[in-house]
Amino acid sequence: MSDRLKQNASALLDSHFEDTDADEVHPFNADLSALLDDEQARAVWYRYALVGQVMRQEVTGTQPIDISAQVAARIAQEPQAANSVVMPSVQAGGALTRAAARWLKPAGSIAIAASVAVVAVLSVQQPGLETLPDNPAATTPTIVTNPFGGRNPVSYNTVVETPAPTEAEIAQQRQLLQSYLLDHQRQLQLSLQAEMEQQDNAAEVDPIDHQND
Amino acid sequence: MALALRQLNFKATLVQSQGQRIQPLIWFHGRYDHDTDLELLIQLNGADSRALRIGDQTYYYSPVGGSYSLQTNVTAGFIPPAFYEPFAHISQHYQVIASGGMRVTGRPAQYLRLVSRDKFRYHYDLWVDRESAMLLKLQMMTPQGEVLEQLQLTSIEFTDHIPAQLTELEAIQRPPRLYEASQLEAPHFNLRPNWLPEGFELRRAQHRRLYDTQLPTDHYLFSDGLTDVSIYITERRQQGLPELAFQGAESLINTSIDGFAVTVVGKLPVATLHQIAERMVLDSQGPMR
Repeated sequence: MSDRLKQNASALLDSHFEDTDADEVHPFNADLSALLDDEQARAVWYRYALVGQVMRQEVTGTQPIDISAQVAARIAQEPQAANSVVMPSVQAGGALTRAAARWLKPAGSIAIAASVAVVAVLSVQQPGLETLPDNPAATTPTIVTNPFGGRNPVSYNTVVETPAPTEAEIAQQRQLLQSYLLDHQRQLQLSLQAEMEQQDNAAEVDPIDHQND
Repeated sequence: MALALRQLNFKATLVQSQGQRIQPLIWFHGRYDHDTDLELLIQLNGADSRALRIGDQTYYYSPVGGSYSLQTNVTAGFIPPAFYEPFAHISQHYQVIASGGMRVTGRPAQYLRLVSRDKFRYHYDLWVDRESAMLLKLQMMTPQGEVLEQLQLTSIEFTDHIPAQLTELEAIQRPPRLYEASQLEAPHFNLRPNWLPEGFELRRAQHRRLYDTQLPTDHYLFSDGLTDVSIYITERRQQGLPELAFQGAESLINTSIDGFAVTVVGKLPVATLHQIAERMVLDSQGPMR
């Protein structure tokens, strides 16, 4: 779901929602209708409301907030997840591994040291909402070709061997890396083509090898 | 298998996976006449990318990256072109071992292993249909056995005649041909590759500006018949990438040597790419392999 919908959900909760172009026929404007029609948006609104109630200590016993099991499970998963990303295929010392972990964090990921309540809310919100930008089509500018096989994400099994760069630098470097991978694919295809042309030229010299298309 | 990939009429569905990415595809193939086979591949996830091949003309259609065509008799980026040729062509560097049978895609299959004769290359496992010799499954893995890339047919239907989807192609628009940059220049920099694993031969060597970044770059492409590797050389201060390495279906390392940034890309273990970079030489001393 979009950030705008989230913003609208938040605004609605705080009574800051601007119901500008509503009229008799359309009692709700388009944004509000979208919010009300969207199941995900309603879920977000519900959670925002719940967070607010928790903060104001208004929660009653009837609300399903026993998330301790989920939190525990989530916490149990965290260190494993971090380890499984950095594959032992590249020799990496402790510092390198930490650097790699920083490199691999998608932009905007949140520190795990946050309070239990925050972790719980995040663990509810995250699935399916944000996807990693591992599609080169989305992260590279429009280019002559998008080679059929050249779609490898740059984001896995990466080990950085120097101090961690900033997020902007990482994005720029990802793009640069991606451009090398794409160029390699393009060159492969051109090389295949060049090979075919050579064969064709050879065939033209030798009339017995004549091709009938 | 090479013959089956050229001659059979079939409609198949398959999934292709690289790391954590997975792409389902539909694959039509048919034989038009003695010389010409037709092939259509459709990606089912994400952008509707298609590859159509008519004999040695290949057309790539993509709503995101632009469409283009090439003169090649295999679809690039799908099954390695070497598998369309007899294994004898690559047997100097890969040992082919038939090791038993297995059920794959619901059919009895022969299991073949292509084991690199040295530690510099990835290995391949192939499962080939016993009845038709059609490729049913393929995986590429590191010398340690970690699977990096897989292709698995999930259904296949053989037909007597060419699939109907391949018979109505006349009206389809043909995208523009992808040509070489018009002015090809020889490499500029005096740092050059001096060592590659046994059997890799130089395919291309040129100096140009990389399309996406406009960095002036020397580029070398080598191939051992199954695997290709690219070496990019740029002035270090212009590129600014940290030293890094990642191993995957397509590995990549970036390192700096004598004021040059060297980037090596290919379906090879990271250790091999490092060796290629480390053993490069300055000046024109030492003959090129």
